[in-house]
Amino acid sequence: MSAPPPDPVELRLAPVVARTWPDALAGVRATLPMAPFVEPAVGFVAALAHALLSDRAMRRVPEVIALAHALRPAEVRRMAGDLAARTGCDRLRRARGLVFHVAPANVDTLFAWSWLLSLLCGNANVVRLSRRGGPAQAALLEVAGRLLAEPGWADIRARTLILAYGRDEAVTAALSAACDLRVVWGGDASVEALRRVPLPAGAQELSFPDRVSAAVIGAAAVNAADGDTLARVAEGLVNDVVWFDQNACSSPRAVLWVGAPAETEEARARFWPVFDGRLAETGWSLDGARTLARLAAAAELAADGRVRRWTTAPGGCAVLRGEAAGGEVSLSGHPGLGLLLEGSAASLDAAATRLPANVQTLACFGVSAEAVTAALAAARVDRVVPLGRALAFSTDWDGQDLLERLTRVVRLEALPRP
Amino acid sequence: MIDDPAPPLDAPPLEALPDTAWRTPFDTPPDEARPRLLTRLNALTRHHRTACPEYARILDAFGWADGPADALEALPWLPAALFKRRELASVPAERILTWLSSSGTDGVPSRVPLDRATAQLQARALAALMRPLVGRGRLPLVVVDAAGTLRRGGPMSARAAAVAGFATMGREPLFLLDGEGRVDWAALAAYRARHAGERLFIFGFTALVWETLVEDARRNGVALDLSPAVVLHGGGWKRLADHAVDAAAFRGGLAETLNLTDVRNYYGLIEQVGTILLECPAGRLHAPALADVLVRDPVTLAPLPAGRPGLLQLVSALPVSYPGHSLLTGDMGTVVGDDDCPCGWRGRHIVVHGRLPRAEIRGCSDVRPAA
Repeated sequence: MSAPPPDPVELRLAPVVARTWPDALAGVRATLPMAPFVEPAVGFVAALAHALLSDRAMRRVPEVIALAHALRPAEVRRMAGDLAARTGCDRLRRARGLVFHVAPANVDTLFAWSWLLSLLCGNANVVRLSRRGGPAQAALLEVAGRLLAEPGWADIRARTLILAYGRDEAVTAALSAACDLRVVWGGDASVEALRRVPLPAGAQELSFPDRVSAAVIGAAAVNAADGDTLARVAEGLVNDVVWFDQNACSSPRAVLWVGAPAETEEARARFWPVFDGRLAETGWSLDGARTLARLAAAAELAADGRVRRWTTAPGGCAVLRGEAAGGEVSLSGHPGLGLLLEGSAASLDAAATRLPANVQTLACFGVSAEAVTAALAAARVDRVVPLGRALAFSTDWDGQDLLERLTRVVRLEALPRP
Repeated sequence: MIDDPAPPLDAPPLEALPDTAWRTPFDTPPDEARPRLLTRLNALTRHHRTACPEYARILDAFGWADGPADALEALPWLPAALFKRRELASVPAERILTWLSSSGTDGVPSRVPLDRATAQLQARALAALMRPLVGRGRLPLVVVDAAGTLRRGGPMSARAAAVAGFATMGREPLFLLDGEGRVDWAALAAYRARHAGERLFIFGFTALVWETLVEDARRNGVALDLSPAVVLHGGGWKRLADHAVDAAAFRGGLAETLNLTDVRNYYGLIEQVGTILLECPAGRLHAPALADVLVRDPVTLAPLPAGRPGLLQLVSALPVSYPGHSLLTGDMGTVVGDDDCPCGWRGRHIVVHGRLPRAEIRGCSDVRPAA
């Protein structure tokens, strides 16, 4: 049986004259790179952030607000300063050229973060969207589209192509062949699939493999915390867990308690009721299909001996918590969907040995950054943040400096006077 | 991952089901069937807990107490979907005859191991269950499928298992489809003529029965009177729902093209072959005496009373070689009544609404593994 024809390529945001994706690509390729952090890119991002932050409809999609916040003018100025600090009279930063982004399926706002950061760095951009995008993706495209339709942003529109398509290797190959940098989000499967698509010799690739994340909580600090602090910390973990259905690479999927056994027992008894209360207030819950999917995963984790005991009942609770078996807390195959593996360790050093090899973010409370970094000397942790900020955007990601990777450094040595 | 020190232990042998348990699958008063079933299910739980380390770990992790359950609702249960992700066996590998695998509408098959004992129990149960439909003798059998479905090597699919199972209930089987899925209408007409006056037993997967006995018949202007006959079909309505064909259209089509008016649906899990639910003359699906069905709220998982739709949990006295005796499915249904069906069949009877939509678990990647 012959293969079915590939699905049509949908142009979501494209240069004005383009009607087909090859035309759109040609149009974007024809633009000249801009310098990093200049107008109109800076102005556009500011306008977009403002439009998102002031749109009441965005309240339904708080992750969009978070994105807009991460791209607000003050933040953009900080980024510009960060990059400027690495330039000098002999070292300039310039755009890479054309950047081809492959967006992930699990975090709706990531395509925009990748696109806009790259735009700020002076690049023209082609973004392949996930077709499984949800309301946040739709909302972002709508607002960005409206803005790009304005004549004042014509220069931005000319260097932006956002499209979506199914399995079509021809399109991926063409976009890859045209780019100077390919940015691949979406985990091991995406990275491996894209690596089979050739890049021109002069192009680079920035890829983001499967990563998992955990929360680290100091038991003593929880026991000493007053009601307000406890509420604030619990709310932090609630947000870190329920956004994106716990499916982002930086979503904490395990909670490691650090402290003596009695201390930890007391801390857990204090903390979880506050967490559950705050969770109930958000109204976050799973529908039948997800409850069942999570149950199957919970049964699997138990069958494998990776979870000894589920401490919350399988039905009716919003977040399922279980006691991880001893040793390394294995998070492979974790389905997200509000499932937390709990473990404990007497010290940070001991806690470090329980982390899986591909852990990315540690969201912490009650432990100092210095202590954590010391304990993790050998581990591959790329990010240590306070509980509540696990999902915050950062230009340092997965051990990469995104501003550095999205630009190129030009060396300018002093020339002898002519 | 725990390293199991030894393969599943040989559990102390289960008490055999009494002969009375086999006699009248739809005629047994519930106050006789239910206690016997509960005793058996408790024995199965004990058996699987000893023989299947994964099962024991699951029971411990979910906090199901060690002792016998005092009611069906209190029995431990597994999500049926687990059999898609793990191979669970309660017998040592050398006793496994074959692995049954489901068709898997979502692309991932369930797999369960059959030993001789379980296979025999299943065959015996199925034969007893079918008697109200086909009587004691063996009827001439028309299989709406291809002979090749049975002959394919490797793990047995649900379709092959069903065909193999039901084929033993008929005689001189005629396979209606050739290797390319084409219908041999001439052979069917000849078959009908050869067995003039005898009731035919026609069996097939619901979607296939529709595509051949209704759509293909209409396309080719076939006008054949196949009565008297009984049609048994199962395997789900999803494919037909995609084409907006409901039960009424299905029955209407069969009556129109081939004068088939005795049409019965069955519902069952590949993990509980032998204790299928059978449609009665009043259109409800009945649980046989060796099985039962409960409905649970999809979110809270609390048991629901009759009339409230929810997730179907099926229990069966048969699975010995794998812990499949109490399973929560991904299908929605409603208990219509208990021991009060106008058709006269005893026990609980339900309607099945269909599968819960599949959970869109958005993992990182948009890249699907190469098919």
